[in-house]
Amino acid sequence: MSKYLDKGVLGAVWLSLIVLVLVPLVFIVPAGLGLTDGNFLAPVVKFLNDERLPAVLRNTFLLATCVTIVSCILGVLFALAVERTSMRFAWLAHQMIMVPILVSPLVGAVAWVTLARPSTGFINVAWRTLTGSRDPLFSIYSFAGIALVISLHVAPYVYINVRNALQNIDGAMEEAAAILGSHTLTTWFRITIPLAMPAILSSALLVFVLTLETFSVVGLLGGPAGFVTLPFSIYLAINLPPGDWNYAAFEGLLLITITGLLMILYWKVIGASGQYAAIGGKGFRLVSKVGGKVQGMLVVVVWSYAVIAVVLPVAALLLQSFLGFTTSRFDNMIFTLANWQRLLDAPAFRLAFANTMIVGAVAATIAVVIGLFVSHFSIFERMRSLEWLAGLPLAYPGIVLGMAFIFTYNGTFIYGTLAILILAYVTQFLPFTTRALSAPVMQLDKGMDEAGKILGAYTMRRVMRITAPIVRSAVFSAWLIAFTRGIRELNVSIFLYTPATIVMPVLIWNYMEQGTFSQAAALSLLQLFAMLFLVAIAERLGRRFESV
Amino acid sequence: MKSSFLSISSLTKRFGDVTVLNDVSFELGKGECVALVGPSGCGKTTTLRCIGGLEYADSGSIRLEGKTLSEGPHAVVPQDRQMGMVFQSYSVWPHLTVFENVAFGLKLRRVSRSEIEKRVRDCLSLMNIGHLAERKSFQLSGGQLQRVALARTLVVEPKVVLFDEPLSNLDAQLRAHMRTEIRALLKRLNMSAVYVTHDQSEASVVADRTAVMHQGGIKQIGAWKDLYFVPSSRFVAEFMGAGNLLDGSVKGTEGNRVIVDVKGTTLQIDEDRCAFEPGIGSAITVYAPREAIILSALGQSGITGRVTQVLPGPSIFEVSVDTPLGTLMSVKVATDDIPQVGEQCSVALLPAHLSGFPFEPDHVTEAH
Repeated sequence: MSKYLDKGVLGAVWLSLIVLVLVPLVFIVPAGLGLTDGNFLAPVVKFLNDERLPAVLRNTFLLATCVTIVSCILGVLFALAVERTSMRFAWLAHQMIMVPILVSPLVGAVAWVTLARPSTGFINVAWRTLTGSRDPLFSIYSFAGIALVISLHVAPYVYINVRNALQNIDGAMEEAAAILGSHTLTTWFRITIPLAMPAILSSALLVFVLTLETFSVVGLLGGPAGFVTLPFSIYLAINLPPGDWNYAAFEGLLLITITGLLMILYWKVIGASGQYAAIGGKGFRLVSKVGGKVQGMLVVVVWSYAVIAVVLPVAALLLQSFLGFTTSRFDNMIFTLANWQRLLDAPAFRLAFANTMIVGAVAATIAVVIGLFVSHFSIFERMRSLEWLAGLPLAYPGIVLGMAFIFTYNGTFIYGTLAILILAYVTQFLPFTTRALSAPVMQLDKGMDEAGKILGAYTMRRVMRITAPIVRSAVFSAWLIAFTRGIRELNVSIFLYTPATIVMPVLIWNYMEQGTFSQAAALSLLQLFAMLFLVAIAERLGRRFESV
Repeated sequence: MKSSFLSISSLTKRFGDVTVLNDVSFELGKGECVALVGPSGCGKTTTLRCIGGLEYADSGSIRLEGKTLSEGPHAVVPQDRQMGMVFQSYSVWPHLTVFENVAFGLKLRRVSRSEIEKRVRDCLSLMNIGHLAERKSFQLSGGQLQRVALARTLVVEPKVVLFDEPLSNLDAQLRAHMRTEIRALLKRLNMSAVYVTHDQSEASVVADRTAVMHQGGIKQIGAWKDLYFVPSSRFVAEFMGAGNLLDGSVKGTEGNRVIVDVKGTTLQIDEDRCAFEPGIGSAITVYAPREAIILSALGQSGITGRVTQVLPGPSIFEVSVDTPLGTLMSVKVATDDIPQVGEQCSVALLPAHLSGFPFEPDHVTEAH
């Protein structure tokens, strides 16, 4: 009897992965090729004849290239500063560098709109006040503005990977160069950076893909600048009347093909360099730290970043959220609690808050449960294809996934309910929960599971009574990782929400579209604080479980 | 041999191109313990895991009390095999107390709460760890963990206990102690067991019979004494420990004696102790355990040798002598007269303890 239940559990895991990960993709293919309305290849023809096409493609790749270059330079400099100099407050610098990863790019864009919109952005107001100039110093509604906001947001990803690589480099390799008379910079360029090159390259690929997929920043800042990239074009194709869904589907197919191929390359690169294998065994860390002029320059870079990416945006959001009315002068600014009051009283806010919590919590729970069973089957029963399938959504641009869910569920009873948001969130969370759980399960002694098996326990009981309790700290942190992603989720929600199922990031987006910057700023701050709070809990829990 | 309780026949298993099990067959009697020994990669652990159902063989069958557990690709899941397994790394669940670890299998069997309490307590005191019931695994030593793992396995009264190198993570002293304890426990409970180890001395203590495995097959199975004194191949002789291997050729037979020429010296072997039908002129390897080499004062019968090395040990001394047959190793009990290096002595090979098997040219040993 239980034997059949065992097969049922495995079948359920397969089925849920297929429904969540593969089915939505299958639905956009016929639409994208024009099969659904009988105009075979019409979207392709329209796309190729679109006069905006060269500009859209050029924008998309130019942006991704610029962001990749800038963020890689920044990330490598940060990693060298924190790992290879004796700078003071390196731990604080590390925390500051990590903050932008916690904040969604949407919140970064909101902050930068308040800082640098041409007329009333605080930086431009300050510039005009100080210089008497009539022109703004810098407009955020520009290619440079968009590239800046995204670069600030993705540089930490490069930093983490490269820092990790630097920690794993045997310090003796650099000392050997130093003893041979090599200068710090020479050593870095000849030894350290080449050794970290696999990490740098893989981060560059990752950042490139992330930028290709970015919708929120381009959507908020690119509109006024007339700057359209592929994801933004998909959004416009659906939301600008009359709306051309098949055209959007074709653009989606194109985008997911590009990101899919790049992610395959990315997985090849990190697989080949064995980056993950090195994590954990840190060997000895005999590294000679440098000081002097080099350190001085790096310290300036790091703290400038902290100011530009963290301090200024948070300060601007605070200022904006208390600002009585938007003004282009400092001397008539009035500060009030009215924005916060209006936000917290708004039925839309309460609804969005409740929806965000429900959808985030339920989707995180489901994604953790699936991730747990996927890890179990993939590691203990050697079904690696399950883990691969669960990781696939990493290659899906959020905007394409959201659209795919419309195509899949349009007209079904879950369309327009929280359930469809939950399904879409679960799909997005799966790679993260599975990764977070498979790593600790992999380290478990396989005998733990086999002992249960021999004693007569079937899958359900072994997962719930043995594997899950042993890796419970990873279960909690996987849940928190997923939940925090849920709080920031915009790309999928923007397509799937209705007024009744609105979530907080969409509300921020709507406030920005309406020009209600102050409420958007207040809501962004709430998101930021929620993230910081959850991360603090996660670290606490992590430490507590480690000590038990 | 006792009547067959567990019967393994012609197990074969491949991983891709590699044959990990090649026609493995043996029988296990009720209450018997068979050890599987051999160098790493010989297939002993895979055999054990196939019996437990953690791996499935490609062909061959496994029967327990006449009931088929595995027949070709059809196999009973491990949950339904009523086996017990003790793992190399103990695999005591860290989130449960000792009591809960041991009670796990009983709960699965829907045993009543009071019965669980009683049986777990009894089993823990049998293992001398009654006082540790409320501890968790991180509060236990390696030896204690091993006892918990054993208690967890025995409490559900499995039909066969499978041991997968259970003592290899313990220090030498504890290992020596635990192996006699496991032996006593198995005999006391009349428990059948298959015991995998790479240590042939551990097998000699724990098991009634030992199977030496090599390259996925069983080379020889029998009581430890038979394997040690009458190995049927060079591999088994070398794996079982120190002994003298003398290559020669068969001259003929005299009654039930086989006459062998080794470098001009004539040796006689019992025909029963010859692993093959020795034709005249066939190449043979004569195996002379160290105990069969008797050293005595010069002038006694036998060949003359010169002592080249004396290795003292706790109870026996190992003495090497150069003889016309080559360098021979002998043992002396520490209370005997121990010859000095350089001393000449008479060397006799006790014919009753010599055995022979076919000479294998270019044998590449993988043992040790």
